[in-house]
Amino acid sequence: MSMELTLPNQLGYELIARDTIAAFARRLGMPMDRIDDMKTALCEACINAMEHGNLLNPNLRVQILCHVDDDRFVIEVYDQGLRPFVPPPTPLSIVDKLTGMGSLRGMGLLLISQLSDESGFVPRDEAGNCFRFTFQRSGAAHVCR
Amino acid sequence: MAISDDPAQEPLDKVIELRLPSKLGYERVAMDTASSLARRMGFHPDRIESLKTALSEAVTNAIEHGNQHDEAMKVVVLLTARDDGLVISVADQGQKILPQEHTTPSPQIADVLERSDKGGWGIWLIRELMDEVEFTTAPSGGNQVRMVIHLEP
Amino acid sequence: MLEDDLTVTTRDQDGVAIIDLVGDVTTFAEDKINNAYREVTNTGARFVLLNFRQNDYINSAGIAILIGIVTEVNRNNQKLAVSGLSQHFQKIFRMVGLAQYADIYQTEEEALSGFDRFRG
Repeated sequence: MSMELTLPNQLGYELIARDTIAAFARRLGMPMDRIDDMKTALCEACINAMEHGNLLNPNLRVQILCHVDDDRFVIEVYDQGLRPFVPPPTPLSIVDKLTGMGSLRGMGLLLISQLSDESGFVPRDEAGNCFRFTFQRSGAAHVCR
Repeated sequence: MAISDDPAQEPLDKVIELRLPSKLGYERVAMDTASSLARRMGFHPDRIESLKTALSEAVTNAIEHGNQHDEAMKVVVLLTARDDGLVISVADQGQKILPQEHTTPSPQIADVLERSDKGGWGIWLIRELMDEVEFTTAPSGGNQVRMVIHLEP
Repeated sequence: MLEDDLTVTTRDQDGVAIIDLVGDVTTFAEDKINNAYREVTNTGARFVLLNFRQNDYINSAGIAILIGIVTEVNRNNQKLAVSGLSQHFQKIFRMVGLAQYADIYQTEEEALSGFDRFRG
């Protein structure tokens, strides 16, 4: 089962995507708490794509692909990559950030990694970033996250 | 006001495009997306309910008739927020073409009660609930319905 | 999965067979609604109330099922009423013409007292 959503690159449209993904996940029987995780993670990923990948250019688009199989609910967020993502040499923890090391930006990625079962940028040949995050469909094992 | 026949001509910077699997039940995803957008545009809750009903009928038609329940085929929903309203188009992949004469039904319940098929209300409901409705052929060759709901000042 | 978004139960209140419909009324509802109607009819119900709850989605396929119930109600000389619909679906039921065949009430209580005028 798959679904695709393409949005204008304008802050605010991620809130529409959040309701789309929630409806899709409900159809597929995902538990409510995982749907909440998914909604927050998707908003963060969209905002990253709009701000950092597409540099807030209103003529660009953000694309969201969802693929669902028996085991996993996979979400990919694509931007048109005016600026490719460059990973920091060592990921900073929340403690590092609170003590003033590095910028508070990038909190979104940290949040997504906490909320999803797996997340990261997917290498691509074409221009543009693809950020993928996944949720196991057997929700019971993850209720304590 | 000039309105283009082709929703693809709506300025791209305002279009939300949703591609759904052709499986009954997934029209809910389109309904919730449209409802979310319409709420943020300031539509009255009654109008949002009408929009959801009309859109559900358009998408279920596309799933059942246009795409013949083939899950791999997509139903494409385009939502465009304009200052004066919301434009929604729903296109299928045209496994079965909707004859023009079926696009203006006027079912009467007294007749329907006598028939074995009690259906046939979908397109009629869309026309009753939306401000503008137009049936055309999608660029892909499938059926397309374009609906407009006006935002009252 | 989750095609089953409707719960249908039946109960008797003051001689009225109440069919509670909680959830979505779409094509997936057909067997459940028809079975519940048959069940109350087989026990001799004269008054049937379709009591809707949390029904934020009723579509034309669901309306077709309800028109099928109207046909049966007419054939079996029963009286049919509807309660609990949202304003939007009350409007749709009136547009379609269902209101000519079933009284539409806001609440279950109003519907139950509405049946009184048929008792004699």
